[in-house]
Amino acid sequence: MKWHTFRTLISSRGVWSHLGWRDLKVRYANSVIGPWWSVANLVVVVLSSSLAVSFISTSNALSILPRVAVGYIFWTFINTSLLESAWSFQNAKGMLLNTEIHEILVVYQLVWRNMVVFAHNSVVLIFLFMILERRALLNLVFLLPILGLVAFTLVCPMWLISRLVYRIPTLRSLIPPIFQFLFFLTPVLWTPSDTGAPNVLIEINPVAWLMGLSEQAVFNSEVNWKFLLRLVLLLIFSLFASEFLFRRLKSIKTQI
Amino acid sequence: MLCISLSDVSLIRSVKFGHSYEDRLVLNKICIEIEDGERVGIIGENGSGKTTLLRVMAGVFTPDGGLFNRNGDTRSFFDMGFGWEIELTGRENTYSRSVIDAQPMLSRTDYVNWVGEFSELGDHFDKPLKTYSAGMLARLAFSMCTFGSPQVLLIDEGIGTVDSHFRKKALRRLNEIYGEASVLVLATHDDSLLKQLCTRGVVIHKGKIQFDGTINDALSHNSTNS
Repeated sequence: MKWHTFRTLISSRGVWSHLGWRDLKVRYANSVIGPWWSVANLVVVVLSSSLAVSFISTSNALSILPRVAVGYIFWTFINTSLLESAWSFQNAKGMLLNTEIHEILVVYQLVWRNMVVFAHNSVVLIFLFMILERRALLNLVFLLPILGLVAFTLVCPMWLISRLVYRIPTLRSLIPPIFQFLFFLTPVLWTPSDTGAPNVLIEINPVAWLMGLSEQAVFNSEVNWKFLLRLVLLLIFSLFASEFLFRRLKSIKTQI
Repeated sequence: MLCISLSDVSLIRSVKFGHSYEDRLVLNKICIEIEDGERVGIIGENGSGKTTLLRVMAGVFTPDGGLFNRNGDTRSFFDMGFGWEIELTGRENTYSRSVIDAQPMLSRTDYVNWVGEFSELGDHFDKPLKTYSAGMLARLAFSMCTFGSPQVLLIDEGIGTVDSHFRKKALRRLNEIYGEASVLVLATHDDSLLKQLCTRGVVIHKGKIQFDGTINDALSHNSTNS
């Protein structure tokens, strides 16, 4: 059986990786400090969020800082990837109508771009862990396979959002508040033990599984098998769903 | 040798009307065979399906029904400036186009150098596109599209306008690539261009082939029926 999504991923790797890098180059073309803006932004958000949480809870800002940073960097990756996918087909219209490129390549380009940003933002984690959590510094390596797992899982929902928003552009304004709401339901700034949040928020939320898995791997050098299994199952479901869409969906090109 | 073959090709496009989409059959069982050496003009009124047909031939659109085959290195000229980023330089955009067009890694440098030289942009080639005049953009677009000697050329509405200084050079280059291409398929409303470049004419009406013959017969068929 031919696995079309993987074949496209491999055969067009030069194109999506180039376009992903190019997007970043364009984004920071007029900036003096370039991609360091993104790092500065992350530092400010993580510091201020940790401070805010420490004010409203009994936690010490410095002690929660590494955990908030790990959570926030993943949340940024997921949130940005999904939000940006709402614009992806609109932005790539010219390329789609003039080349034989398959539309899924635009999604790969977007995932790749955000993976590069993730890698770049990891500098913040390394510095924070060197200062505050030195014993767990090497465990940051565990975040790489977790990132791969998340990236592949995201392809299908991103593709669906891209198509849906292209057909119904008004959805574009609905998506950010939905993600804002999901952010508050996800243990990025809070932990279930601190807040006594209902267990269901963790059990049905894939991002919460991801947070649990990455935190346990980084801070306790342990694998949370329950969450890992769920995420792997979700990944398998997502891969099959992408392949199904690849075979069954009529190209968005004929709707442009 | 058969270069392009379409057998009973149909295509449905979703067209947006207000807030909803409507499916329209834009190509209806198209059968056409184009052999090596042929110069084909696609003729028809606006909305008849000329551009869609060219995009099927270019592999941009996958037909909903029928069979499509194409042999040979193909170049299509639909929108010459697609994929540009105005913040990037002419050189960077040219390199980007070579990647999007999946040119072999080794020929990319040749491509970028050729475009830089042919477009006569000089130092501007290394400046962002946002600093270019319309004429400079047209020169860059033209140069990007006319590199090399593609076997199959698919052109929609001729190749764009360039400034008067560059026009002679551009026309010379066009005649070169038209002459070198094994197959030329041109969709345009310009009868004189069709007579000048094509030998065969295909008249398309509401997504169906209405006439297929010599270019002169096709043009007169089109004028009597339109």
